[in-house]
Amino acid sequence: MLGCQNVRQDLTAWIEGELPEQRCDHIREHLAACAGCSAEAASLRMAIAWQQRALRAAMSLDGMATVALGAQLQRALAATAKPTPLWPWRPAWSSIWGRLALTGAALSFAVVVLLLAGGPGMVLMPLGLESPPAAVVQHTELFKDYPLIERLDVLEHFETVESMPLDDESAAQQG
Amino acid sequence: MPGRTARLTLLALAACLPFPSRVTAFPLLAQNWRELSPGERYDTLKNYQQHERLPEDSRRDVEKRYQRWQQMSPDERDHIRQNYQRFQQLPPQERARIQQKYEKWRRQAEPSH
Repeated sequence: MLGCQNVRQDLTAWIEGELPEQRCDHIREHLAACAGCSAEAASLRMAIAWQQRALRAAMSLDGMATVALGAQLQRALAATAKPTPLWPWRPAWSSIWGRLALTGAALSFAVVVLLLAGGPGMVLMPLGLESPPAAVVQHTELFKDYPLIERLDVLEHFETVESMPLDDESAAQQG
Repeated sequence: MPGRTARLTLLALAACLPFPSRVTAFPLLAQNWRELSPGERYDTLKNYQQHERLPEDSRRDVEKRYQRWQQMSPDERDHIRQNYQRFQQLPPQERARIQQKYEKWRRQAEPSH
């Protein structure tokens, strides 16, 4: 009986019908008894069948140039290949740490935003999730237009004040 | 720019909230507050905090101005708002000069009062 190594060397030729009948019998005999080689043969048979289908499909296109045919085959092979991971060198464990790092970064960002905003209240109150101070509710207009009301004196007399020269301007005009 | 970052974040968060939370979370609040956008509410709260930090007499001055503001007619308010917009468009040095001019004008006007 043939050994596994001898059988596997001949599997492709056997599938493609290129071996003499006696050799084929020996291979069949071995495959019936060896699960590993049998699985290898099945896998090889599927791959060869797929290649033959792809080749037939490509050949059926009229006027196909050789270069275009090669490109078509490459695309067909790439389409059936396993997708390349985004970071092929990344070990599996890093995804867990990566997720933890991302979560940590998101939390840090949230904390920074809260601090910049002036605390959680300054985020929750504008969103309507927390009640604002009573003074703000009672005098919303005051605090909404605060910059204007703060300068009300100037703004009331803006035209007069704007046209008024300062001392240095008066001196320059006189000079 | 932290104020702008906070406002943008608030707007983004507000957009994520379901509509009823945005409108009916606190139905007893004054209508004005409820009508403000999250960004306006943020600015309003910031102004409130600024006001709270002022000394007592300065706070009283602002409150007197607010009373005067409330008594103004809509036309007067419009006029003041237009002046405020003009003031806002001035470069910082020019705004400081306007303030100086106002102080001078006030000193000159005081004896006549």
